[in-house]
Amino acid sequence: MTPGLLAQLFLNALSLGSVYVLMVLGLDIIIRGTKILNFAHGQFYMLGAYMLFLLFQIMHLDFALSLVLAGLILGLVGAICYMSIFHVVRQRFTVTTTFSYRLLLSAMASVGLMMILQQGTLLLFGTEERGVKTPFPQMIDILDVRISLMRVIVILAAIVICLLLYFLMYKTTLGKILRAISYDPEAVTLAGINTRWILVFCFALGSALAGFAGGIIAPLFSVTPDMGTDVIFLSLLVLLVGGIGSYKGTILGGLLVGLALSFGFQFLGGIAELFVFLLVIAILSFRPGGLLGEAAD
Amino acid sequence: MTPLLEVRNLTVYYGKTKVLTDVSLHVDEKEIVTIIGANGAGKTTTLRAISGLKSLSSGEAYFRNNKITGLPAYKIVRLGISHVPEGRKILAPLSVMENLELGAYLWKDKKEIAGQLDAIFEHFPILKERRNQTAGSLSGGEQQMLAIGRALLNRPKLIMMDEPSMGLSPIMVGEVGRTIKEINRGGISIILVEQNARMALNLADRAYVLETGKCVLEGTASELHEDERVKNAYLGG
Ligand SMILES: Nc1ncnc2c1ncn2[C@@H]1O[C@H](COP(=O)(O)OP(=O)(O)O)[C@@H](O)[C@H]1O
Ligand SMILES: [Mg+2]
Repeated sequence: MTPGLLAQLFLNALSLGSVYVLMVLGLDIIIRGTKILNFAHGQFYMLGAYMLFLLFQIMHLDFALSLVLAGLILGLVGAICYMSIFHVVRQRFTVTTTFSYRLLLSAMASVGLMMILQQGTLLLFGTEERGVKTPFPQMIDILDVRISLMRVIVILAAIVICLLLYFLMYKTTLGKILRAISYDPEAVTLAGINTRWILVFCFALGSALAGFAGGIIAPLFSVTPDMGTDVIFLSLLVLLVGGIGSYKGTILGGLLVGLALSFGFQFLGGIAELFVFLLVIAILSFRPGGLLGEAAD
Repeated sequence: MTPLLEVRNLTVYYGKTKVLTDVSLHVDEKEIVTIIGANGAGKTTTLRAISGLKSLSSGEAYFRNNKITGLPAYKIVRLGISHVPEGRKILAPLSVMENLELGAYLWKDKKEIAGQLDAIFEHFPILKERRNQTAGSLSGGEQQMLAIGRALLNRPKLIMMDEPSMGLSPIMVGEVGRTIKEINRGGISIILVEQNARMALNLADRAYVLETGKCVLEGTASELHEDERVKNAYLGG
């Protein structure tokens, strides 16, 4: 293996991993705040990619602007879905509804939402693969290694988003409330805060991250209505590997899965995902709570 | 004079089980009122019904002549009722300071908040010392102080405390008692729910006794202290 190929594989792993990190941070924010395991998260990612197709490819808006818009629009879609579906489900719960039943009911609602979004996109756009031209086709030569600028941009964008999220979570009042609500929603209510809007915001923020992730990957992957299905299952794996409730764990898990996928495809071909599953099983059998999660000892 | 808080005929169900039957009580300005009763009598449920965390099937509550029944819990807090729930509900992963800041969320005047924080730190120096540690790292007594401090920062007219002495050493129980007295001297009314009837009756002006969801006795704390039934059932003969 040449150093060039190795560097290429690492870069692919990092860019793929970055996208998983964004996806899983979104999933994690949603599950911790609203206690919803949102299977439709992959469809928000898919819609984010279609947004880029529409805004950037068709309407020729600026790439960065299209990305930000994709995030915002998916945030709005998330908020609407939360209020019209999950909030309604939630209101049917009573004090005697057990936690596992709550989790199951909202997860089932999210599976319904997943189907609606996917079939809706199929009706609207057809099965045809859409391409989004890359806004950064340049290759950078570093020593003997050629790397794609687009992939570097993906990684940088993910780093910027992580920093922004860190700032939001640890340096703002809203972040304090978000961390508090995931630990004990009642305590937040008793501080005089209307938790309903906080939960809407949680869901919207998580969905925006999925939209952004789908948008930024659009120039690298082909855009299809079913692109969200694989990604949700791998994202759930990353969530398990990293551990729920740990941002560091999520980042570590995302990068690990990115590496496994990238090297797996190179050396094992189509069974790369099987390799990822085996890796995850191995990790979880040693650390059932994930690498760094709340449940990890 | 109308009471600060007036609760009439609260009836509450959990599913199909009736846990409160026609509970009525009132709290006057600057008063300490205690609700005592055995485990499962319905003390916690009474507080949760008042603070809006639990819905009622009938009955109503008025706070400073405003009807509060039916309002969402966060609005009741804004009217001036703070609830320190059972089991000192501090936010363990957040720092001590962040816990306190959350208590002051409703107030935007930074200077006043700082002044009140100083007062709390003066009263509980340990909280100042540990302000950057996670609240979960505090001892049981310190967590209770934090929970009370956080409630004070809501700037309430009435604080409801649910078994603040639970799980504390006798020395800490005494400390909590003194704190309650001091808060009350500052003009804040208090509802104190306790299984520790001796401590509660020593602190309170008036008391209610709950048994299986019904209010079976009420009177001044000194009357109940001398009551044969209370002596036998709650003060160990
Ligand atoms: N979340 C709940 N679900 C069902 N029943 C409950 C719940 N909370 C309390 N109860 C029941 O209500 C009754 C009163 O409980 P509670 O108000 O906690 O009593 P206390 O605080 O006096 O110990 C008890 O019989 C208890 O089993
Ligand atoms: Mg209780």
